[in-house]
Amino acid sequence: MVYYCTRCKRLVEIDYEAMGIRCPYCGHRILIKQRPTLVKRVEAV
Amino acid sequence: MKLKVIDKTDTEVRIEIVDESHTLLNSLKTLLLSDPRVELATYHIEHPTITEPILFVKTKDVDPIVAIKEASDKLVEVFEEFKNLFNDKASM
Amino acid sequence: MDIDIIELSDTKARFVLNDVEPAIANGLRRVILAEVPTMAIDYVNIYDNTSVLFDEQIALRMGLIPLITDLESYVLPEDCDCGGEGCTRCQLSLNLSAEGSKIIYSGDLLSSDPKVTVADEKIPIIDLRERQTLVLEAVAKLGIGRKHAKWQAGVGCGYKNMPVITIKEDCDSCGRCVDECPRNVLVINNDKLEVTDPLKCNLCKLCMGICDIDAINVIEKPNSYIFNIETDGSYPAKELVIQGADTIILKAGQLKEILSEIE
Repeated sequence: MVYYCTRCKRLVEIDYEAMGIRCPYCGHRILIKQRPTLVKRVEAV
Repeated sequence: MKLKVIDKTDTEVRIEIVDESHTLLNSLKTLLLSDPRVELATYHIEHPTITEPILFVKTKDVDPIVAIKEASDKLVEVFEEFKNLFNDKASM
Repeated sequence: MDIDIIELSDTKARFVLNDVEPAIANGLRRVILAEVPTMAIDYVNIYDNTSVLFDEQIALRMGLIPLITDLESYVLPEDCDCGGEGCTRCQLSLNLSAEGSKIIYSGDLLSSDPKVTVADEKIPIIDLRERQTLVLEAVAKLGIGRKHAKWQAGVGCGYKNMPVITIKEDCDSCGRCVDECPRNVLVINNDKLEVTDPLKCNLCKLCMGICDIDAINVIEKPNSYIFNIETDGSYPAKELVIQGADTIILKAGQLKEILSEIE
């Protein structure tokens, strides 16, 4: 799963089993999941 | 609009009018009552969101369906008159 | 029936309707509020949204933007030949592609039909900061106000009875009713009580209550109404009133047609 690191702004691959939730480059622990590329249909109500 | 005739005799009719509200039925009821051949005209909405209005018409001698048809004609006339009058006054 | 137009502008209409039954006046009010079809955004396809608002919040904000309605080229989805699936007769799309930093207004929406555009170009949708993007396609359809408030063409529509204010001969011009009146309808001119504009009166009857000698009387004139109509911009006010009457004519016609079938 590809995440986005909020500190170093890099897209990072996470191996949860090996190191938990942590950026492999800077060690930051706040990561954001990338938006999927598909179109989302939302009702305007 | 859909109609369901619940019961009908020679002088009485009870119709469920699907997808309508006070907007049409109240005006229609008033016009039905102005007809001298109509003895009773009323409608009832048991619940405003889950049930449909039921129109009840009782006449003296004519077919109640004919009375409703004439009342809807009258309603068209009233609003045609209003529309033309408003159009004339607004374009002045 | 008689009509006196007091005020008529693009968004507002004010007129006096005389000699009609209360049910007819109320029918007109109800039809303008909830049954005149108007264009509004039904759903939004979101391609990208890195703004601070959720997709759902943006979609709601888009839905509430009034669109100028063209009833000649569009029909209600349920009356359309396509059966409501969506075709060029019953829907159109508006596109938005924006990047920060700036405020995105309703005027930034690009309509696929030049006749149907936003009624007001200065409605803010979202404030985008740097590197935030918003790419979407909004699909607008006709609908009626009974289903959702975004399809309400007449956002303000109401009426009151025509007030008739009579001042008797034995009025001593004490002026207490002048102070009491919240709408400043009454005035003392040359030691005589006068009515300035009866249309402003809201029939509160405070003047009747304060007068010890019952010299002033306010009554509601039966079958005479002052209508106040305000639109959201999707129709000019004149068009809205005419569409309202047309809608009820259509309903009555449908009723007659169906009754002829079952007879």
